[in-house]
Amino acid sequence: MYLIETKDLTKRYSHVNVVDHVNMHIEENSIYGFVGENGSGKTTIMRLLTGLAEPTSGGFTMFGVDNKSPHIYKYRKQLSAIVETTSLEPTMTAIENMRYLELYLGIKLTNEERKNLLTKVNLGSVGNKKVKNFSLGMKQRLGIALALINKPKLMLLDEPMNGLDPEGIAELRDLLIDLCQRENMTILISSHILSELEKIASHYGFIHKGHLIEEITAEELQNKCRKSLNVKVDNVGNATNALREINITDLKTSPNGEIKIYDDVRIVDVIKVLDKNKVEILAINSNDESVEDYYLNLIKEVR
Amino acid sequence: MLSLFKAFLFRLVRDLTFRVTLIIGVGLALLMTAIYFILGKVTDNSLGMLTGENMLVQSLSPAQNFGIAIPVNLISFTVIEFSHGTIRNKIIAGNSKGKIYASLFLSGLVFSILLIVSYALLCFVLGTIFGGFHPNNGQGGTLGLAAFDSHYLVRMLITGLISYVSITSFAVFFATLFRQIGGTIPVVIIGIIGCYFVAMLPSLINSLSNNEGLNTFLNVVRIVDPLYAISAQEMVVDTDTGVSYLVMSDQTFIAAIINNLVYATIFFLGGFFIFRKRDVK
Repeated sequence: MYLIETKDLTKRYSHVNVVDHVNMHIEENSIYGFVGENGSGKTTIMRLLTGLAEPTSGGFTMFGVDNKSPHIYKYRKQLSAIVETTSLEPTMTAIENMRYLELYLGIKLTNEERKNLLTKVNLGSVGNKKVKNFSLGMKQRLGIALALINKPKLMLLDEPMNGLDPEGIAELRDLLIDLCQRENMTILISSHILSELEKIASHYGFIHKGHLIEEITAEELQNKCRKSLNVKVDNVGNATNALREINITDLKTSPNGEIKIYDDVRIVDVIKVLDKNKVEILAINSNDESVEDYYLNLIKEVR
Repeated sequence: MLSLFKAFLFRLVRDLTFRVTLIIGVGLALLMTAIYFILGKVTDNSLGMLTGENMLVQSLSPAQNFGIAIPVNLISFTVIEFSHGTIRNKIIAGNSKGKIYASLFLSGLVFSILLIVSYALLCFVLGTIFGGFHPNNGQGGTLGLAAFDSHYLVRMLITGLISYVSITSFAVFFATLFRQIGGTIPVVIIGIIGCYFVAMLPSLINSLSNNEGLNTFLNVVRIVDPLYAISAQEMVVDTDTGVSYLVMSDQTFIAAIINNLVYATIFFLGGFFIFRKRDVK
């Protein structure tokens, strides 16, 4: 079951579709990495999902409930989100901000629970400090603590790593993995730090100029980005036999004459063995793509 | 809805704007007392302004000193929700925009009424301490104010307080429409002062001209003015004693209440539907 499924979701501002017929599928208990350049529509989609903005056309289901249904408000109570910036009351302390949020969520935490949540994001010692005196990173951490107050089933995080130091990023990464694994939480996260996203995401959605250009699982992406030596030859059958001579077995062939070699092998050995077996090499290159490279290649193709 | 209202109240008591407005109120009450005290000394108390009852009625005027400070600070209290982005948290938390708007209006109403009642009470206490509650036994001085009776006083208190319902509705409407302090405050101040001017126009014109047609026209205009309540009074002279009294007829009293409630409803519903339709950044 998809926890969120959008159907031709479209949002238009000033005659421009900033989100254009997006069909997105977020599986339950997954960490969905949302990748796209600035202005690609990531934040707008999060704003549409959280009810901050209304779709121009299309819609979505959340927890199986249609966005136009009056019941959607009830289901949104199982959601928490940080969209664009962490929204806090600067004149209140961290604890007061928590109590304020509890009031309009209609829940009540004990002091112990509040302290535990703050400790979870490394703010245990500053609960009574006014938020206006917090650094950007501390505000971001508090935002995450607030997002956890209602023990949500679904969390939408828009660039949550902004303002965090490397230690904070690592802690947040561990926390999100933990929430997904132990508490079966589903997380939609956008980040410009793709190397970090790569460490936590189980699914990816690549968005460009308002269009969702690809949805892919981390496993599929790993396969596509796997380190390989790509050789294009005139005779795939002979080449495969020749490569076995130097113990190359982990490979993939394609009808266009391309062979992807995943074994760790020296280029010079491959050239030698193919030459010895009279196989003509038409092209040769190595592939070691990261998510970032993959995304950049993807949007290059779209352009 | 109740949980949202509770949350707004939680913020209200911790809000700097609310505290600053309270301090402004204390300062203005002391200033008004000092001015009336000095005027009393200069005019040998013939104006009779420094009395508990006069200070009480004066303090409730929406277009004078503290009456202006309240909507200005209410705008700030409301707009902060947008500038700090906390309104977004309320939407994300699964509250409908309609409920949020209604709670904003209700908390704004509590903001206004709490402040104006505190201010009026302070003015009343200061006036009574320094000038007595009703020292001239209902008789105004030769140059001074007309006398009040308790009937009139109660009606003025009710209409004065009720005018803050429409002012709150008006201020919250523009605060949520513009979502920024700079644009909202001038509009609301100009609106309130303009309405005050229109409300007072018939009595001003009346003293300058005896043109019956013009007066009738202005009286009709005044009735549709949102601040009709503050001018909804007439002066009658007791021919036996020669003492002039301020009165508010039943018809005027009811018209003033209906007028305010109609405007409060129009701005509330307008704001409610616009807020529901618009995206929140």
